[in-house]
Amino acid sequence: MSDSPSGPNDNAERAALDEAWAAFSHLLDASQPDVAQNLLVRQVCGRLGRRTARSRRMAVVLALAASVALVVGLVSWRRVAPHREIARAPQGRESTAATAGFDWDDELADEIESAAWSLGAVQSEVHGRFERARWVQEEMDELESEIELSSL
Amino acid sequence: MNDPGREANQRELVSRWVHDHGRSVLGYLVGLVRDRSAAEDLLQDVFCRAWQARHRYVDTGRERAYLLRIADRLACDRARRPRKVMPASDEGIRPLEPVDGERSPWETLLAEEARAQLTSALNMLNEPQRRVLLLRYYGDLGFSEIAEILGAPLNTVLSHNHRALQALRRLLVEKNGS
Repeated sequence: MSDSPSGPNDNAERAALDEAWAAFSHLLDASQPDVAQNLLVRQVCGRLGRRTARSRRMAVVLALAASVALVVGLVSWRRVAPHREIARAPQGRESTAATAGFDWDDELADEIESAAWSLGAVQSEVHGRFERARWVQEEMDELESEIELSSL
Repeated sequence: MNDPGREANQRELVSRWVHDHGRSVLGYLVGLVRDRSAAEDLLQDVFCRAWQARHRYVDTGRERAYLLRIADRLACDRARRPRKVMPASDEGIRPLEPVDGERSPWETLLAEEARAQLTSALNMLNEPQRRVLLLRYYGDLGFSEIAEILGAPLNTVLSHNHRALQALRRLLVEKNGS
């Protein structure tokens, strides 16, 4: 042993500690464990093999899980992507129809357009009539106030 | 898909380690955990871990210190895990006896006494003191190396060693002297 126990400086103390160390070493010498080396080598190699196989299986499982996740992600993305394209597409009716994947029907579109125009015309007519009724009401209020003034 | 060459290499390396250091590492583990079967289990783990981490090991000719460091870590991990508390008994030390076939009654008596003394000695020490003394004995390590393995300052290791030897002195030397 190259190092010696530090602490006590006096030789008597050091000698006593050395003696204690020698006695302890002697006890351990007498109790050296017996190792069945061949058996131990077999056990260690067996355990190593099992661990290696387990980690290999784990790697395979992880790779499979990653592949499945990738496929699921890809499929989901492909399902969602066309709708996102529609949302981002320019407002032209032909391009919208093309993106959505159906043919544009001109007659149907014309009907929808004419219906929209008719609806607009009806709306403006109603609005005009309402405005005229309000104007008549205002005129009548003015006449009434003039009559009241003249009667005074 | 096992590579036979690699397996042979592994077997050769493990065999060499077991041959050179198995007894010391097992002795250290038995002294620390005081349970032969647990120590043997840990011993297998030590060699497995050492082989798995062999690429990180820088060959400085201190293989035993490397193995004892792993053994120490594993024994500490085992101690941290909750388990049934087992007081030290002769049963843990009994298998430490060299198996040398037939013994005379006198030899058996001496061995019994030595075993009882070793049990008493180990029971007197706390865990850090046991680790220091066992590393010093089984690893033939200097105090600086022990400090490195235990992750403790050198002065702490020297102090553990000093106190442990004082305790052992009272038990082993003075008792025998009287």
